[in-house]
Amino acid sequence: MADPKFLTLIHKLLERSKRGKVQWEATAAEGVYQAAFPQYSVKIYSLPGDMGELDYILQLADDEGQVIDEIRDTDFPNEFNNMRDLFNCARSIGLGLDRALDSILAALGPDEPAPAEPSEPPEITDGDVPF
Amino acid sequence: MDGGRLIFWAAVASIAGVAVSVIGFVVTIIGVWRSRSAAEQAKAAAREAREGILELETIQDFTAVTTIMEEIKRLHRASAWAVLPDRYTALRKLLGAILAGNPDAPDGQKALLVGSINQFRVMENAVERALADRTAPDVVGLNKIVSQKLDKLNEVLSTFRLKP
Repeated sequence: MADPKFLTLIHKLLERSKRGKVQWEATAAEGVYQAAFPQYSVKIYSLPGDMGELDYILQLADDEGQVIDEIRDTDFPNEFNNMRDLFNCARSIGLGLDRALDSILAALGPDEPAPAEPSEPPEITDGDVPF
Repeated sequence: MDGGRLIFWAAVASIAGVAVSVIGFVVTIIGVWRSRSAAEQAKAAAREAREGILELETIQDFTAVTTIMEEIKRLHRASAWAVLPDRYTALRKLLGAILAGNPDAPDGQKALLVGSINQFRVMENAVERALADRTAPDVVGLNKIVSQKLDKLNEVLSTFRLKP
């Protein structure tokens, strides 16, 4: 049985990651993202599961990079959505997706007001006709 | 000598004795304080010298780390996969030595070292797997990671060099 502290870890990592407080980075292994802390690091990745959908795995490693423990979303059946969101968040930060989008949006500039439609020409009356 | 005069001189002698005792006590206290202060100064000097040596070792280790990382990038470009695992191991050992030798480093620097150690372990596993599968690892991707780490480690190295 997985240590219930992992549950707290998932929630805290997700909440801090959403606020941009966790520096996830891509690794040499495709689809594996890591975040380092002063003594330990965590890695998250996905693998095809038995039922055709993805399984999400969170690993805890020591300061030598040795994996100490790992959990799968199946260890906490109610945490699938959180593990998936954490993976997507880690991927987005690790690949610099947020930064890229912000940069492009800034380059595109703020929304400009739509040009005003030309007003209809005034109706011509008999007084306007010179002859 | 009459009795009154004797009592007077006895009192004077007694007061003088107390005064001498007090002065002696103060002198002793000052002596102890001075010797303690000297011992503490010597201890502080020894500690500073030890910290200086450790910082020097850290700078030397950092320099070796950057040299190995540059070498790793060159070996990636040359596709010298067979010799790379040893270089990754040597690099991780040096990073581990820097981490162990600087327990009071800021958390951000320690996290950078831990993250770098982990990155090069993942890299080593990826290269070992590619060797076993007879596939070619992604040189551009690997060198991008090495360069990013190199830049950040160089920033930390410069903070060590700037220390007074």
